[in-house]
This record gives sequence, C-alpha cells and structure tokens, in this order.
Amino acid sequence: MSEAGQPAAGSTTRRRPRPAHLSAGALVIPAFLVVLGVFLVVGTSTMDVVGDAGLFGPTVMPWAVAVICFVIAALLAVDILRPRPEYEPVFGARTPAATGSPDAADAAEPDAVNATAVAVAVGGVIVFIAVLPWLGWILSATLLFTAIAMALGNRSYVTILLAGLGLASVIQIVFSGLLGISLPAGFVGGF
Amino acid sequence: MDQLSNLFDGFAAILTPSALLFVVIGALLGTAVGVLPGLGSAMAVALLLPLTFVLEPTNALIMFTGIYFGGLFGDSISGILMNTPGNSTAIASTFEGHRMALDGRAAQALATAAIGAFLGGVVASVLVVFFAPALADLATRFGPAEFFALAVLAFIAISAVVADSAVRGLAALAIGLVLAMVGIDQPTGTARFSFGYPALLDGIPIVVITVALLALGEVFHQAARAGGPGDQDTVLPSGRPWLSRAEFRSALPAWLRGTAYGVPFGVIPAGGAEVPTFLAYGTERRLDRRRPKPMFGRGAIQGVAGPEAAGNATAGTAMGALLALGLPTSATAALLLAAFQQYGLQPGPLLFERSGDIVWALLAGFFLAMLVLLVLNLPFAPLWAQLLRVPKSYLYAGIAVFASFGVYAAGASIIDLVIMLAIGVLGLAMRLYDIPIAPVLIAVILGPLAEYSLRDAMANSQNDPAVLVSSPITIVLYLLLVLGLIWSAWRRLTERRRADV
Repeated sequence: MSEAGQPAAGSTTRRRPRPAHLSAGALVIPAFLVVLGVFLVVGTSTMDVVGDAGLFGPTVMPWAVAVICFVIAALLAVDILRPRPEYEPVFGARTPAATGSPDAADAAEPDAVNATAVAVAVGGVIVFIAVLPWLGWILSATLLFTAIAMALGNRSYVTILLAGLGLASVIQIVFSGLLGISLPAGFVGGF
Repeated sequence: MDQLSNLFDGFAAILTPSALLFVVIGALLGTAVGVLPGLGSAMAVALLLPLTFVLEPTNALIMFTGIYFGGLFGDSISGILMNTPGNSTAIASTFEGHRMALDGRAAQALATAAIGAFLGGVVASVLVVFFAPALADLATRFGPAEFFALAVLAFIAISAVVADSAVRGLAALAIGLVLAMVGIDQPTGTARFSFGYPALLDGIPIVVITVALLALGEVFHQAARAGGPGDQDTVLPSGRPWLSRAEFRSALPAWLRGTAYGVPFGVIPAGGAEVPTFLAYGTERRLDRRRPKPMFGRGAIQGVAGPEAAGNATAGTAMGALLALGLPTSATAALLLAAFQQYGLQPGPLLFERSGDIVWALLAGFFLAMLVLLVLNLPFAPLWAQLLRVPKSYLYAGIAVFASFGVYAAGASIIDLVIMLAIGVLGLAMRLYDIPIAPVLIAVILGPLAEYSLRDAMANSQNDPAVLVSSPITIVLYLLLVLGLIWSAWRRLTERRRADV
C-alpha cells in the first residue's frame, strides 16, 4: 500500500520536503517500540513463573522480543534520520508545519495530517466507549456514526444523525433481535 | 482418486439453498468492499468475523471464501476505473488497466480481469484439491522443530522479503509478537503481561487486533486525510463487456503465464500476491517490447490479464497452504485462520482427518465462489462502479460503527473496546509512517506457534539447539529462507539500478 506515495528517486536539482515516513514525526514508531521493549522488560522481570519451566520457560521469548524491539527501534530511527541528499534535512525550517498544526491541512501539502479531524474521530470513539453502558447500543452508535462522519467533513447533521440511527437500529434488530448477540440496551430498555 | 470422490461429496454438501446463498452473499460483500477505495478483502473478513458466533461453520467458511476472492476482484475494479487499487496486490494490473479505461475500453479491461481471476483461481483450486492432502500427509511428519522453522520462514518472508523496507517490516513483526504474548502462557500457566487484569488473562482477542488495525486504523487515516487533495475522477465503463476473439487470443497466453507465476507463490510462504503480480506484469511488458506493435503504455490487455490471473492463483494456493499446513501466507489468510479457530478447528495436517467434511465442502466452495463471481462480475462490473459514488463520510462512519459492534459482540467487554481504540490509533500511526500491517497479523497468529514449538523442541532434546536443523524438512525450509533473502536483496539492487537510469 506504500507504493502509491513513493516519490521517484533521482533528481538532485532541488531538495524536496521529506516524505512523512522519513520525517521527525515518524520517530513515533521507534519510540513506541522502545515503550513495548520496556513493557516487556518490566513485565518479564516481575513475572510470577508457575512451577519449574526449565531453561526455556515463559520468560525466554519475552526477553528475546524485548531485545528485538530495542534493536529494530534503533535501526528504524537511523533509517528515518539518516541524511538523504534528495530531501531536506529532518530538522529544517519547514518541519514544524508537517506534524499537524492547523495550517498543515493545507491542500498543497500531500502528506499533511488533518489533526482536528483525527481528534474528532478519536474523541468520538472515546465518547462512544464511555457512554455505551449507560445510553445503550443504539444511541451510542448513532453518536459514533455522527462523530466520524463529521470528522470526514460531512456537515449535513440531520442526515448523518438519521443515517446513524438507521444503521444502529438495523444492527440491533438483525444481530440482537434475530441472531441473539447481546448488546447493551441502556436506559431506554429494549428500544 | 480419493480426492475426486471427496470433492463430489463436498459439492453434494454445499449444493443446498442455504450454502448457495452464503456463497452469493460472500461474493457480493467481498466485491462491494473490495471496490470501495482503501478497503480490501482482509478488512471485509475482519468486519464479518463476528458472524462466526452465529453461523454454522461450513456456511461461514464458504462465505469467507466468497469474500476473499470477491475482494480480490473488487480491488481491481477500483484500480482499473479510478487508478486507486484497493490493495497492494492489485497495483500491477492497475497500470495498464486504467490506461485501457482512459482509452474507452474499461468494460473490456474489467472482463479481462474477471476471466483472468476465474482462470487463475480455478487452476489453483484444482491443484489444491489434488496436492493439499499430500501436503498435509507430509506435514503430519512435522514436529516442533519443523513448525518452528515454518513460522520463522513466514515471519521473515512477510517482513523482510515482501515488505518494501526490511526494517519497517520487522518493526511491524515485533509489534505483533508483543501483542501475541499477553495472557496465560499455555505450557506453564504463568500469567504474562496481564498486570493483574483478569480480562487480559485470555490474551488480546485476534478479532480485536485485526478489526482495530484494519478497520478503525483506516477510519482514522481517512480522517487524517480529510480536506486534503480531492479524489480522482472515476471512469465509468461503457461499451461491450465481452472480449472479441482477437482480444481473447492475445489475453489467453497472458492469463496462463500469470497463473503459472501465481501458483507457487501461494504455497511457499512468501506473504501475499504482490511479488507474483509484479513478476507477471514485468514478463508481459518484456514480451510486449518484442512485438511489432507494442501496446504497453497505451492500455495493453496482457498487462491486465497476467497480473490478475497471478493474483487469484496465489490466493487459491494460499488457501491450500492454510488448510494443509495451517500456515497463513497473507493477511486475509491469517484472518481466515482466525475464523477457523473461532470454531475450534485448527488448520494443519490433522484438519483433513478430523474435519474432512468441512474441508471438502470448503474446497468445493472455492469452485462455486469462482463461478458465482464470474457470472456476477462479467456482466455487472459497471454496476459495482456506482458504489464509488457513496460519500466517504457515510462509508467510514458505517465502518466505524460496524467495527465497534464486532469487537463488542466478540466479548461483550468494554476493555476490548478500549484496546481497540489504542490499537486503532497505532494503526493510524503505522499508516501515516509507512509501516506495513500484514506482518503484525502474521506475528499475532503465528507467534504462539513459534514460541511453543521452540520450547517443545528444546524440552524434548535436553536444550540441544542442533535439533532445530536436524531433519531434512527443517533444512529445506531454512534454505528456502536464505534463497528468499538473497533474491529480495538482488531484486532491490536491480530496482535501484533501474531507477537511476
């Protein structure tokens, strides 16, 4: 899936902006790997091993994967940061704009991240999870549908609300009513 | 000819109204999801995994086959008409396919793709019918050392050989291995990485991981891209949806060559159909240059026929590898493995003995699905294109609702939803920074197999590491791995050289 966005290598006449996967923002991934590695180290060293597992017990694989995480994180960070003649340096003048300030939604920037839209979408899921046990499936799912559609730039609120309500109800009727999967009913009961 | 009588029993089992209905539903759903940009057959299977809680196993698995093959074809429809292949496996056929569409031959391009998919799929399925039992027989001789070698081969193949950048593929693999280790350690009963949460003792459900990475991650990614550069124009197909005799004659050898490329790549765990589709495309282009009137660059029918047949042939034999060895060679195959596990069925050497009726019904279902898809798609491909008019906001809002429903239905637990959100955000980061998703899924599904067989092998041999390379099968598997690595290094070098020219 990456091929479409790959710039063709070659021309050295003008330095182009770094693509997203080589920008400073991409360091999130090696950072995450380090977090996973630390998670494994902490979890493995505090593990209560049941019984005598011999040399190859339940802690061997976690230690090995922790090492892999740290090594790959280092290699990936080098791969991201290493100077490339065809692109601008990682920490150049233009870098702050690429990581998600409101101006970054500029259409001229192909790699720009629409941070507001992501916040609305992620926030929609958070609210959905928080209210699901109280409001029940139909209302919560309608909220989720509305939040995602709004994040993707749809502004006809009444239509989205009705569409979300329709989809949530159909799922409730088909899967809960006909197929017997339990969904939280919420304060509105069987509605 | 045990296989033939078994296959006929399989056909007898699925030629019932309900099974036929599920094949058709699967083919329709798969094509629909494949057509939509950014969605592939893997996501279709992920979103529909919860159905396995209510459907009878044969029907559900047959439906998933329909989705698998339908999704592959749908990916090509959006590639040909919009120049946006739904999946990396459809990129190769998009180059010439979209040029044919711009040239006013969209309907012929779609027909070429549909027939190629049919041919490649049927040939691969015939091979699976005849060779999968033998492969399963061979696999009954697999011990822990062999399974460990197989898992290592799959890990390295999908992350280092197939991915564009080995370090990015390995990063994805490491993430998957970590996710797979949460929960009770089966040999000893030790709780690992659950940090006192009883909900984590069973591990993170595969449904949650796949739905979050494939569906929710894509929803967030669409949000991140919202308001960006506009979408491409869609070429709505016109003209005759069948091929003239001359077109058929020029496409036929390309279909067959594509099938020949696709078949071996499904069996050896080289992870997906990207490689064979590009090999088929490259071959057709080289052959085209020698013709008196080269067509490549102006919409060559062979450029669609070859890769399309290769893609479906790979998908077909990949199902054989999944059933006989229990080895998923692509993200979609990994999800089908998860579907089998929902029913307590473990694909692999013993599946043919223990659940032969389901396996043969499933294999018969392959042929049926291929036939249904040909009938559905040859005349109606233009109608599918209308789906491209559904506004993205409704589409992805619906996917988010369906994803949340699937995750909640799987365990009726709010914690699963929280994990889904976290992994969904991870999926967004991976998409933004070009980390492949498929190695995560392969690692999640094969990670436990790799770990437990390594530990079994070690326990059985008093910790003698030589046992890992002591049998001919393990040596062959590791040799394959080395060959794959050499070949991918060579491929990258030649690509770089070509880019410099």
